[in-house]
Amino acid sequence: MKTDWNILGPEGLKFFGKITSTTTHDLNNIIGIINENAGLLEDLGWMAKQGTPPDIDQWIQIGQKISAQVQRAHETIKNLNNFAHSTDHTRARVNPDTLLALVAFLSKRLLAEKMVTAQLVPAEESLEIETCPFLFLNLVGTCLVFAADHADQNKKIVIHTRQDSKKLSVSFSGIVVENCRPFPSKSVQQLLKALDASMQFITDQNCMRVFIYTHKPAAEKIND
Amino acid sequence: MDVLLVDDEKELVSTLAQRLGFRNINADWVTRGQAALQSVKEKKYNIAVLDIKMPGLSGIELGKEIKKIDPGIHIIFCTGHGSDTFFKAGSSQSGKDYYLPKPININDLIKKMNQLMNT
Repeated sequence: MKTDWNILGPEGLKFFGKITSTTTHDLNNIIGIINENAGLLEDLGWMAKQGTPPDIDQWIQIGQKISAQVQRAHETIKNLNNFAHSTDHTRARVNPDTLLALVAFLSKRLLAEKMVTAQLVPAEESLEIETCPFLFLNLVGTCLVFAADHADQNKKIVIHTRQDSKKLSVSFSGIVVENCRPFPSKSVQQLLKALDASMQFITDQNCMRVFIYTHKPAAEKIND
Repeated sequence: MDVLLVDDEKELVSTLAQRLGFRNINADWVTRGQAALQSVKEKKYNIAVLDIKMPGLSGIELGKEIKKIDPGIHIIFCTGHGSDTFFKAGSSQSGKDYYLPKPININDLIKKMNQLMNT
């Protein structure tokens, strides 16, 4: 089966759009909080001018809240920027745990809408694979949202990684496997193909696992 | 005027409620749709201000559920959606309800509230 870019192209754009629209929505909320706190400072300033004794501790608290939101915005923008740069190279040596942490961060709101959280348990050793960073993010991001849609009653998806000489495995546990058919979808099948990967559901462990083979070059090289 | 604010960003909604309080508007706030439904069952509000994107029940779904409990309540939807087209389409579909862009300008919000109270 040849990789079908007529499927992967639009699906990749859709994934890129989903992540950026969700993350910018989050940034808008951060601006909203800063806006309200700035407004509150202004209100308190006017009230002080009109004779209400100023509560200095409250002013300090507002400043701290604004600083915390600026830090949150910085973290969000840094991750969004890293995500955008994942398209820079069609093949690169990457740490899969770093990419998983990125996708978990950027999917936080998507998962929260489903009342689900994700926890990444990185491998003890530092991992490295050669892959297409964006397609890797697209695959694990799609799997994470799928896992959230099929989360068990704990509503928590735990992501584990492991690597041996032949493959990287990424597990998404905390799902009800019986409800997971039909999957993978056509687009995920194409992602698996492009990344030289496969997928397995393990019923007794309530988990799905993605294997990315590293012992041989990808079946079809992506041209720069 | 009694107002219920619903937004999953606690810092945002609690600060907005405090600022409305300074302007003699009684504003209660909650961060979840289910809590909002409970509040509407327990207290009579003139206006509910709802964020559209929230965990669990979305603002649009929540608006419909609130209207089932209190058909007379006015709804103001708030959205961080960047598209003007979406915004205009949403405003025309919502009949008597209003959409406001986020971040919220408190003067615009109060103006909308007063308009709704006078209809």
